[in-house]
Amino acid sequence: MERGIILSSRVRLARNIDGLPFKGINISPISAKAMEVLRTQGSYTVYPMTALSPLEQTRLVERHLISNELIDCGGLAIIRSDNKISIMIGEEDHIREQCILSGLQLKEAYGELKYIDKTLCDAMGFAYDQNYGYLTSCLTNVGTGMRASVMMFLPALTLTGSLNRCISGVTRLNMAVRGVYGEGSKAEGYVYQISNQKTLGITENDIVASVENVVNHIVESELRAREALMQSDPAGLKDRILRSYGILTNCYMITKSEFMELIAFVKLGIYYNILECSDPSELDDLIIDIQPASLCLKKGRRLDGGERDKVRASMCDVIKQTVNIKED
Amino acid sequence: MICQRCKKREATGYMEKTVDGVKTRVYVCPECFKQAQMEMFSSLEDDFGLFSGLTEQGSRAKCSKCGTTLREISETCFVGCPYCYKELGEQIKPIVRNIQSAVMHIGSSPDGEQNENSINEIAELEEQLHRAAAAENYEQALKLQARIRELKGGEL
Repeated sequence: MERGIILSSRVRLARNIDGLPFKGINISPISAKAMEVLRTQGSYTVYPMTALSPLEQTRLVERHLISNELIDCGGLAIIRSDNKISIMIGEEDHIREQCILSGLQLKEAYGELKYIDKTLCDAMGFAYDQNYGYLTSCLTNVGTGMRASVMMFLPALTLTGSLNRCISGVTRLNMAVRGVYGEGSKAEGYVYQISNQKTLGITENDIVASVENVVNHIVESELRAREALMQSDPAGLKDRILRSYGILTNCYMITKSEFMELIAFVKLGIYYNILECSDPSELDDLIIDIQPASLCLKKGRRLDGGERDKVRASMCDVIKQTVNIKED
Repeated sequence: MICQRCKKREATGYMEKTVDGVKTRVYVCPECFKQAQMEMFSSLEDDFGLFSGLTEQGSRAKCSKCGTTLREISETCFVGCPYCYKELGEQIKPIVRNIQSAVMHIGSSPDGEQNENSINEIAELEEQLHRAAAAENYEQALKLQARIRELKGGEL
């Protein structure tokens, strides 16, 4: 039940090399050293932003493997072949280590990152102070340097207008609610990111526990809101779900924002047992694949808006194959 | 919801303002929140000379390694290099407290699981608090409680 609400968990640690200024450094020796360490632990590939096309760069952002800031800074990413670990070098901090896992797995993500962090620290020596902890470029990250975030699908809280109340409660607990691509981004497809704000005066395990706690409360609220949504207008909701399914499985062209709106209703339909889906992970993959850069790279060339909308509509065949209307 | 300050970015939280005894909420994005915090910070500074060091000495106080000034740090929240934390450590404390509601790291360290010093300090202070409360020395207990809260980060 929760799986559909909690999409993924991500833990990020901000680190800097001791003795070097935070800005304007040569990142080559840092990445060479990091790669030397990481190579012994798994299969990693280096992606220098300066060597990637804008499409390839955006594709990595769409998959949450890098930030937009890394592109702006001309940094570099070292990404593990399973796409769960990515190390950004030369962003706001020298090193940003990130682990992203599906569902609610913050503990596991931190566990995995802890080992990588230790080996990188042993090899490079991170800036650390007894009082301030891990030293970071921005004071908002100092201490643990940790940001634990969970991506959540919250259509019912949004549609019933309860989300603002929920955001107020969450911010009071020193947490932030953002759109799916982080700071300043829009919550497309009713997907939000919940993360800790505070990084100092709290242990890593307490950050993980507090975010998990808040997330579990939001899950309960979303489930209650889904019940309320169905009770308030069952016929209207069923109609909207089936219309969404109908458009997605019969359209010839579709924009990204329309797709994101309709797929949210298809997912709600699966939750309410109005639709049945043989493999929900196919839908999650589709949501990533229809993003503009991922879609163009799949076709092997840059496409204009209209062409993208046609390709996107054809990709909705996956919905036809995996989702069916449930017989009453 | 759109940020009510810049009217461009998505709001992720709110600030409360009291004007003539009436409390209002303004929903803001992280950037405007940071900006508002800084404005509030400098208005406090102007009104009360809270960081009087910052206006005179402060403009001069800078990191001898990278040249970042205390004023730049207070305006942007960005620090120039690890050495800034050492050299300007005491002066940036109020800024850090303002952002993090804490000034002491109690998380992991490169050498071990947890920052032993602060954990030991908290344990020692809690022991003292217990003794002060038992002896009904409430003034001392309140002081200890405040220090523990600061170390733990604003919450007991």
